[in-house]
Amino acid sequence: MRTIWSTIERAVLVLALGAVTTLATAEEQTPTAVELSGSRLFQQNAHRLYEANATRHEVRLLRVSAAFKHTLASASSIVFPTSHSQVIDGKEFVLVVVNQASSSNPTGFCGVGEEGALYVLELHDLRADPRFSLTVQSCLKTIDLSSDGVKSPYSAISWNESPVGVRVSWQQDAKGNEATRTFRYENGKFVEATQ
Amino acid sequence: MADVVAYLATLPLSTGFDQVSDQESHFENFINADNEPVVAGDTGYRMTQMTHPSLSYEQVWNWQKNVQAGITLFQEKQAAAKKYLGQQGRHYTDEQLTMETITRWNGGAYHSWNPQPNTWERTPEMLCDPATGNVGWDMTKPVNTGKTADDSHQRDKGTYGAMKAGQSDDHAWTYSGVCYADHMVNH
Repeated sequence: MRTIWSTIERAVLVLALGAVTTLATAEEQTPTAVELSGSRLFQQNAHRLYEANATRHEVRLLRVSAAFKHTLASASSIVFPTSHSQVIDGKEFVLVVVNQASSSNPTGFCGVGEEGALYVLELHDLRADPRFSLTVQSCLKTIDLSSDGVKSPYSAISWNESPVGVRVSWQQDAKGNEATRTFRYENGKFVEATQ
Repeated sequence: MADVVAYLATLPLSTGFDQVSDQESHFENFINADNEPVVAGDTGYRMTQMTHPSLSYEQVWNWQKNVQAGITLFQEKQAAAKKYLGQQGRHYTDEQLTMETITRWNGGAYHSWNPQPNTWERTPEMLCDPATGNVGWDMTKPVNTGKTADDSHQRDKGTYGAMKAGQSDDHAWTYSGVCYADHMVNH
């Protein structure tokens, strides 16, 4: 069973990594870290991804591909929709939404909007590799995650138990419809499950 | 300008769009002295100053086409605002719909749900700088807590010119769709 960290240990590691991105709205805030197996935490700071180990009191930078490094570097915000990882077939995955600014004109159309892509990252050997990505929100295309106005819209993204995979709910998808889609893990990939 | 207002009146679901287009490129200025379309800093064109999606040549040069392109996007935002505000049979006013739509035009959501009186309310933690178009402060950040708009304006105004690069832990201002909508209805 996964070890539950003490509040003190968690606070030490958060401080060690410095400020982390949070979404400050009246809505419930998103997690600032993802709890991994084996007393570890997954975090981001200054557009880089880190793995922190409370037992060893160490924080290590995760390696990513050049393409994903560029994606992270240009992000307007990086959000963790869930507070825990998922181990599937012995592989550990985390969910990350990487948002890019919709526009460079802050007072224009979508001037403060964001284009958000969900990434399912596989963590292994101090690497974080995208295994699946999906546009989950877009100001330009009016794609909105489900939001009840209380919880964060990112709570519309979650791990799915059966079938094992990822579940995303939209208030308005790319076709303008309310929708929920599940992407199940199958042979190393995440594929859309038929309803 | 009268032509624009009259044209908008013929278009459905365009309530509030006149404020958006007026803010983004004053009617009388959307063709400048050289008789060319007004261009934003990131080459957004004409009244609606749209950068994405890119406008066609005709949409750039024909003001009615330009307005229609903007109206189409505004209607999309209004439809999304209605879904958000009207979910689970919740009640909302016309004014709330206008504020939600204008905010979504710029980005984000204007309202959050307060389950106690069962009402939508303006996102309470955003304090806006009335001297700007859409600058505000997240009052949950310790550096902003307890400060008035004037206090924070005096602290941060020197960094506005650098745009997003001017934002920092010490100058914790942000561009906000909530402030954009507030500015629209108050000016």
